[in-house]
Amino acid sequence: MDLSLKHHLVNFDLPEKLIDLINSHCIVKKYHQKDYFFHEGHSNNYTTLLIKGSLELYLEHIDKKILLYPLTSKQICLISLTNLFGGYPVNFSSIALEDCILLSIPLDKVIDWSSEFPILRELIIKSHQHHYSSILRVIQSLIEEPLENRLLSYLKLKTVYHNSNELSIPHQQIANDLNCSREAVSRTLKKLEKNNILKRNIRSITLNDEQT
Amino acid sequence: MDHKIYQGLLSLLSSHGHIKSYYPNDIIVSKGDITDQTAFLLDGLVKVTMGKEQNALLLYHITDFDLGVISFMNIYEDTPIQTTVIAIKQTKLLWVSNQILLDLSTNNQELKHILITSYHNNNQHLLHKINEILTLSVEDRLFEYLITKSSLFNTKKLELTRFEIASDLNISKEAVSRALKQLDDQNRISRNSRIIIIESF
Repeated sequence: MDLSLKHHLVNFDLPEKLIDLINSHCIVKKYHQKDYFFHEGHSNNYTTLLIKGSLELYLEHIDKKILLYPLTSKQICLISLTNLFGGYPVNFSSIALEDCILLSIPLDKVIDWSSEFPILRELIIKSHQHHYSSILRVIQSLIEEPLENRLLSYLKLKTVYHNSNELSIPHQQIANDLNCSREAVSRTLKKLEKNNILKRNIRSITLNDEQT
Repeated sequence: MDHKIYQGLLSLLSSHGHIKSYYPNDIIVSKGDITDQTAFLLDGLVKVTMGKEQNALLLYHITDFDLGVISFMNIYEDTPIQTTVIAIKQTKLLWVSNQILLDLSTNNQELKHILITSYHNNNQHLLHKINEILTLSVEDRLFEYLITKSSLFNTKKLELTRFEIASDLNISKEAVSRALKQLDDQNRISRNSRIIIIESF
């Protein structure tokens, strides 16, 4: 039995019996900060939970990935996001923002345990609610907000993750994350600089203090 | 609609809730409303959209197949509703308070299963939507939309106004006309005055 795993689960106020059950049936995956990994699009047989750390969730499309939103383990987040509409799966990937521990539990076990332990059911439902709000927010910003606002929100979020006002993110990566062209990113950064929101350096962007 | 499998559950819920009827185009709930209830679709068809008014991006539909659940994703706290739900057909909903649902579901497997499945399905719908917005061209989005409507109404001949399509897809009426013409040129649809006929999948 992995003692450190047990230690993490205890943090969430789960009953001892449930922790033991999880321990004996789950698959543990650990990721280091900055690791980039895929979520299996087809495995409907497992439910995956993030119990330690935080990560960014991305939608995979052909050869690029599009940033959706971040997830943290603060309330055990369910991260099984399989989607099989139209007969083809939507693929997700993540980049770990800090060291992470993921637990995969067989689906039938999760169903049984949710019946026996209301706290697990509550965690799962709350996870679903969090995802719902998050996806809605992304859709909303995609259809309503001009790139300037989306870019600024994105940069502000990044300063929080990296704990610094200075960001070294290539324009192409920003363009991929926001699903726009690199030229649009460069143009918008120039505009934001003109409005004294940030400063463009040779290899980085510095957000002005009032913004963070 | 055939709810034989859920007869028992329906009787249980009916005794704890109240039924309300809606006409086509009635707004069932608006974004920003606060409610502590969940609705079960007994009859009809509704759509879930992003905005406050009639004029907002279509997210997904909820049908009365298998006792559709309209949950507002706020079963543990009364947070404002994030979507607007509008009736498309004549619709009958059974409203039950969330507190009662939580109490009943501790001992009722069927109810538990239906609620969790509805949460899961809502997210699946949203994921599908976001994938569509991020990866499909306007005419492909329009075609998918037409296919969805076609299966909901069980017909290949659709009578939809440009306004309705533009609103549901959150694009301009001109963009709708352009996309319809493209689909027509590609022989994926044909048109007969106001009617759109789906030709191929």
